[in-house]
Amino acid sequence: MNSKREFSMPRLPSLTAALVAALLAGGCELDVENPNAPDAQRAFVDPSGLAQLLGGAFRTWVETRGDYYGGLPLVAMADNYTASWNNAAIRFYSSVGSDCPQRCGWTNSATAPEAAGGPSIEFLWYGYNSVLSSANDVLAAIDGGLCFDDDCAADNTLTSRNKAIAKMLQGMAYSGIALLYDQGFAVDETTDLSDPTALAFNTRTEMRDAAVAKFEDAWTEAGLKTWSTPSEWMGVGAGKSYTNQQVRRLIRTMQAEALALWPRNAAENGGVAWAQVATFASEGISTGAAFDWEFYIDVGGRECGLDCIKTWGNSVGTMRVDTRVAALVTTNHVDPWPEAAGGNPCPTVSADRRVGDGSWGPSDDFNGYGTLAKTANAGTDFACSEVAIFPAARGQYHQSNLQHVRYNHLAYRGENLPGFDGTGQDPFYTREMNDLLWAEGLLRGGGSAAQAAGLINNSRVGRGGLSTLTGGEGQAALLAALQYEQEIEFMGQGPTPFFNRRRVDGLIAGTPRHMPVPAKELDVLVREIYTFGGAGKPDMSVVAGGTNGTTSKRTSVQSVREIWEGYRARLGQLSSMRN
Amino acid sequence: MRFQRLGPLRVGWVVGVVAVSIAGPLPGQQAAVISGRVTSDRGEVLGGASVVVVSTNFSVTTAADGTFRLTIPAGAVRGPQVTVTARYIGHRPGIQRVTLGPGTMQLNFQLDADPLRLDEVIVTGTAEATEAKKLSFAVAKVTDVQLREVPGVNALVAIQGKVAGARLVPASAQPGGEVAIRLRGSTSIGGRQDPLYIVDGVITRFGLADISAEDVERIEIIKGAAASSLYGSDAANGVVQVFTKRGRGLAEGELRVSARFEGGVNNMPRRMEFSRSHAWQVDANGDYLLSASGARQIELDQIADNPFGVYFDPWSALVKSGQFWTGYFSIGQRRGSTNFNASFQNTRNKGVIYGLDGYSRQNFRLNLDQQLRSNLDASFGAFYGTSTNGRAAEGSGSPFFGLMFVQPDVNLTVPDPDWGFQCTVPLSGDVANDFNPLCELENRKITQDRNRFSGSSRVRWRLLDWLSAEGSFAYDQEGETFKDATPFGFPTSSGTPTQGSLVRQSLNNWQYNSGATLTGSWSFGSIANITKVAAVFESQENTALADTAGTLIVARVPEFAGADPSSIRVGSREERIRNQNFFAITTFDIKDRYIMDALVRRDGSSLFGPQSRWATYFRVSGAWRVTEDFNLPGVDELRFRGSYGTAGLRPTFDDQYEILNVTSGGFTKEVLGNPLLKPARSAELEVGANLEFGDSRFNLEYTYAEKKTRDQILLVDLPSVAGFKQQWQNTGALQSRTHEATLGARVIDGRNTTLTLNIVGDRTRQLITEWNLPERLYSFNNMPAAFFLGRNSNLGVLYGNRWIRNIDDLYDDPDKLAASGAGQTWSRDSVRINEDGYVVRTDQYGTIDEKAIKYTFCKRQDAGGNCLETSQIVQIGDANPDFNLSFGTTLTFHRLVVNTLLDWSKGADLYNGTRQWAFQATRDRAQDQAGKADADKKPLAYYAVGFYNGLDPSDYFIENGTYAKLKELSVNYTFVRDQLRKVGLGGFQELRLGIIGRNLFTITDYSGLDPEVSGLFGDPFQVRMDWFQYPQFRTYTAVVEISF
Repeated sequence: MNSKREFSMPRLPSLTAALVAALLAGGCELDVENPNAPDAQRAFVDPSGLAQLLGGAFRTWVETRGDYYGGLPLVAMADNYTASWNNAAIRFYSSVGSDCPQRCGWTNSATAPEAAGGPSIEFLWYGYNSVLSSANDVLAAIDGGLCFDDDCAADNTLTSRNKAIAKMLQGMAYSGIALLYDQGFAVDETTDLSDPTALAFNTRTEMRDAAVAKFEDAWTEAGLKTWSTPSEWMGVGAGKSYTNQQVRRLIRTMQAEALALWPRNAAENGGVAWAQVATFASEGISTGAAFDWEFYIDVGGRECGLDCIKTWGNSVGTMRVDTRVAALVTTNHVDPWPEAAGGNPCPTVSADRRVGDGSWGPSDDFNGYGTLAKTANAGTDFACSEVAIFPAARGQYHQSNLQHVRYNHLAYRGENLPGFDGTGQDPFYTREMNDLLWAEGLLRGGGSAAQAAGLINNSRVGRGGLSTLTGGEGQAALLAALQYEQEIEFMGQGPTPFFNRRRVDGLIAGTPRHMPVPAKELDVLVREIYTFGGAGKPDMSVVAGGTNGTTSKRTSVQSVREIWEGYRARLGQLSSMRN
Repeated sequence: MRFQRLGPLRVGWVVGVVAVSIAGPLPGQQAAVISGRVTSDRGEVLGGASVVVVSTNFSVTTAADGTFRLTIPAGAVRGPQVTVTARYIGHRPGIQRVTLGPGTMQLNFQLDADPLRLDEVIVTGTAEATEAKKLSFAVAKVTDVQLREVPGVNALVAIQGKVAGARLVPASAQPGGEVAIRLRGSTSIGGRQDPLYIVDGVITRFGLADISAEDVERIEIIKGAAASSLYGSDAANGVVQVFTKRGRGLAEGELRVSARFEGGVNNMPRRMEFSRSHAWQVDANGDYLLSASGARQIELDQIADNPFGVYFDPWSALVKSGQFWTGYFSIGQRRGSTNFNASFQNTRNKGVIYGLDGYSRQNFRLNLDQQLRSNLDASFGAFYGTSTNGRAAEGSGSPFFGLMFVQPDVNLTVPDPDWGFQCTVPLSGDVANDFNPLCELENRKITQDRNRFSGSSRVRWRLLDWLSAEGSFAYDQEGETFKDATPFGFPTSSGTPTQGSLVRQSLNNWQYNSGATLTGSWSFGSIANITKVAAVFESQENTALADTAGTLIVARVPEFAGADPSSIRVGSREERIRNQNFFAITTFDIKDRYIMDALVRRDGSSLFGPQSRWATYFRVSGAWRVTEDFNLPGVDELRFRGSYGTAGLRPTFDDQYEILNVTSGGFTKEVLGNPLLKPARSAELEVGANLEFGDSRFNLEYTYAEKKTRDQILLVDLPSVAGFKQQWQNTGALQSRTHEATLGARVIDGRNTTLTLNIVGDRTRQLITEWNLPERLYSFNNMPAAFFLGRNSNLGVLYGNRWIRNIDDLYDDPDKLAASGAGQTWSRDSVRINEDGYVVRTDQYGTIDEKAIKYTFCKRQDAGGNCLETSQIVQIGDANPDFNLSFGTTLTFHRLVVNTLLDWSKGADLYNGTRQWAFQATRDRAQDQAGKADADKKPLAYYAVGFYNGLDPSDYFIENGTYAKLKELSVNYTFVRDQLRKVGLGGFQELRLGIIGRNLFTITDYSGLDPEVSGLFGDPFQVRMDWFQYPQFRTYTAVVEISF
């Protein structure tokens, strides 16, 4: 260039070429591993990684049983807990005559909005099936020769433990589906899953029976060796370890539950093998050295992270005890809400020590909820709040001013109660629950009334301070006392109160007695959608479309066969790597 | 794929070796010298004009007096005749063909004005810099003239209203926020529509919010695959290329120093309105009647028509005027073989919310061009920016959310010695969402601190007169620290102390791109060809840390050291992304009238599944300059053009991988990996015409574009037995059709008075043509799930419940039809239409149970006509506007310039979720029954249960989002040296004084704060939902700009 000075750079071409080449070298590697989350390749290359699936499955089971979307509407339908909040469609499904002429049926549509219950029936389905899939993976690996011990030929204790636990998880998943849905997939590690769209649904009866059978397999396997479960499987930080003998007793309780809570109506309730229930429960967690089966809720799982039913049900600003239960456990509360009187009074009047005078908290009007400071007569399970947490404009039907506080340590930061921060042990199966299943098995199955009365007394007298039953009160009185105890002792335990009301025809007309397979799943499987409950579709009169349904013309994106085969193939490769 | 096997390192060496082997000294014994002067048609000397010998390496820039001198060694060019062009911004190029000979020859240029900038060159999407009138596809350009009048708060905002088919919307207008842009229609069903951003050659993934608008020289925009194929798998959304100032336009020897100061205030032009009445029982004094337990008692009729006893103005307590000011200093020079520009900016924007520190940013930029040898140029650029932002929470939990729920008889400004303001908000009897936003703003501190560094370098080596090589390297880095701290002891709205919380997130992301290019240009008679082959490599690494403490245990220690260790959760994330891209492009120019262009590009990316690592893209295009063949009376230029091209959308980092979720105690299966995952593929056909007439005072550009993007990247549900919940798959197709028109007009072109119009308009329709999945309604956060995806549905439509207004509609519900007989539940006389026009049950009319009824229809029937499935979900709105139209005007009178920009968007539906939530708490203005006739009054439940609808979407909250907004108005006057000298300011070259208004006023029926609203999550152009966002606000400023 004319007036511009030339730079003297004799080696410039070479330098430039070298510079360009160096710059180009940076982007050459296109195979990049994801460091943020493991895949099966990395997670399961070591048997201990595969065992972590079992820990994850326990957590998923806890999360499913206490699920926000599925569990909260169910307990509200049971008129157990209630709220005018419509989170998780609680208000929608608990109301009568507002959104629907009677109880709303399940909104089984992938495009149903949340407030009308769109996701309500999805989470429990996918949760239990996730538990099942993890258990199946572990058992398939064991069947393929995987050894969790150093040398299975010498000692297979850990392998046997994991096999027992995986089978128990299969039973827990089947049981969950059997109690909640009209049908399900009783698939296990031996099922040919090469084409999931061709799988036939199993009826709820088959699901229940399969659950009991898987529990039985687990119970047997758990008796072969002596072991303990890792403490972190029951929650990190303060999770408890359970021995194989405790696990066997827990399995018995679960078997009793699967039989006893399965009926959809009183007629089916009469057909339960109650003697078998009593037999199972007689070997359950309340026998011998009684224990509660607990999961530790840490800070990562508190406040609806895991057990939303207890979080919401024990939060004074969030959910209240339904007036049906309130009227049952007190003598001065009436059902329904006495609008003209401005609500039910505080303090409460009850002979039950679990209710007491309804006082609660460190001071009067704690947190602005019109409570009375805790007295010597404070109840252990219930408190009374004078503040109605909703304006009447939200619907008087939902009002309640009795509050469940038994698991208050798991509520939203313990309602700011000193020492409670939303973490702690969460009992999913209590000894009282087993006692009451046992007692019912005896009463309905022709067993000893005196023994049944004694089992009822464990909570009735032990926790409630009520009069002692002898067994001579007669069947009707004993069943009434039993049901009273079940109302209190089942409260907060997942959807158990719903199952318990369902089987005695205690639900309001139109309330669906169980759930259909979610539309999302039916869509993927290319099957017809159906639903239960509400006007025009009485609670369980509609025969499931399911396998009989016609397929739509829609084609799946990538066939589920291709999806599944790909994953199974990779698991097979991993298995051969380990061998 | 050969390049793949060769590998980039080897490719680089090949490029280098080829370059070395063909380089050599140019011969020269008897030089030819061309000297002359460049002036405008008005006689003004044009310092800084570029004089170029076409198809050679020889060029020069004119000095301040417009003169130039160009020496061409003999033998350096082929043949004795050469073409010499002179270019200057805002003028048409001068082109002269001369015969070279020994000695000096005189060559003067007089350049005609080109006020509409029709003859400038474009570099985006082309093989080489190309005159706009020779483009075979549409490229939009925003020039420095447009940018200078009303600089945006960042580089991107300046595009608004100036480019047809480009729409901008802020997800949040909080100062410092990033604006979203969509070019033409959407390409992604599930994701966002952000184009590829390139700033001075830096492919940037970190947004443009850090970059000063004052630094920008021009912006070039290509809007879809028909033009953006050159950029491959990341360019289906188009490309926005930003060029910053480098001092190139300065005259030889000129030193230009300028300083610009702008300062003023922000304010909110509109207010949130609330109900001023309640339904509580009151005594004769208007005081609440309380129950024995102290609770308020609702009136039996539940009608909110009692005025609150006292009315504090919560809006004015929260929303204030805030300062806006910015100072910008730059220095640029051209001298000899060097030109540079350096700048510094300091800007501060306090927004309009009480108590926030607002946004503060300092930027430094240095651009340097150096001619190292006569055939070797180097360019360097460096940018550093640092900012801090004291901001508010967004969405539910934001100050606007708190404000919405507080009753007007609660005084938010009651002082508190510990927390500034009293945090306790008396329970109103409504639901407990209310809190004092002033108290929270005083104590909860959210800060976002950023730093940004970008660097670019480019070496261009003209190896031969027909061949040049270019190497480039560009680097971009962002660092950010986010902190959200609520102090220990901070009380809830009920007064109970909490233990506070702490969130800290930091990220450090960087990426570089490097490239090598060989460009050859040939002429065969009247045919000119430019061909380029190139390799571009990208590498990106993102790292993030996120720590939270749910419980603090020590007062005034808002750090993790003061937190309960068991409440601390830590998280980290790392992403590595690699891309290898190769392309070849060739352009033929036949007789200056027929343009043909073709390219092919091959992209490899680590974001693609391992079995789909590579993807190929192409483009073919052509243009015909009709007026070069035919003389059309009154027409200066008519060009038809058409282009068809493909481009892609890359998956995000996680999409291809199998993901097990690590939980406390084990693994759970979440997402099944997809080794086949590939980029979405967009194919676009673009046709258009450009017409200049009236002595080039008018320019009309029209483009029709139709694109279809297949293989959308969507998260697909899996069967439950799979264990994994979902998988990313390529499925679905989206089609969009866009009409764009631009009219530029020099309406008045006097010597002292000019008026220029720039009118841009567009209309886009977009349809999901393939959707092999179940229909889907989706939402974000806890917004109503109103956004619908399904086959043959327009993208951007809203679905939800419709409230029946016609009794006949009632009987589309088969259950109601079955019960419609006389005396039955749903007989025609069982319902009536109420004062609001809604169908309600007769027996509930006038009672506390009166409610509108949702429309229900049979969605699916069996062969016998029996209804298998009913639904209450119908289309209730469409977020796509009928059209957008913007009017930009620039009026100059002597040295006075008045600039306006009016933006008009017609017909889009907005969803006002902000008001819907207020219905729950009986706080919305519609619930205020005072002033109505008694017969017309409705009880609270009519709204709070009925239309509130559990936050499910309904047509009650669909509003017409049509607006016309005066987005920009500026008036300024420039004093030149002669004027300044008279007042003793002869040292200054120019002094410019002015005033600027942004978002001055809006004409709209929309009842929210601003119709340019969009959701905080997802694609802002689909999620047009009002959700307590920080709204756009008005800014008035004064400007002083000095250059010397």
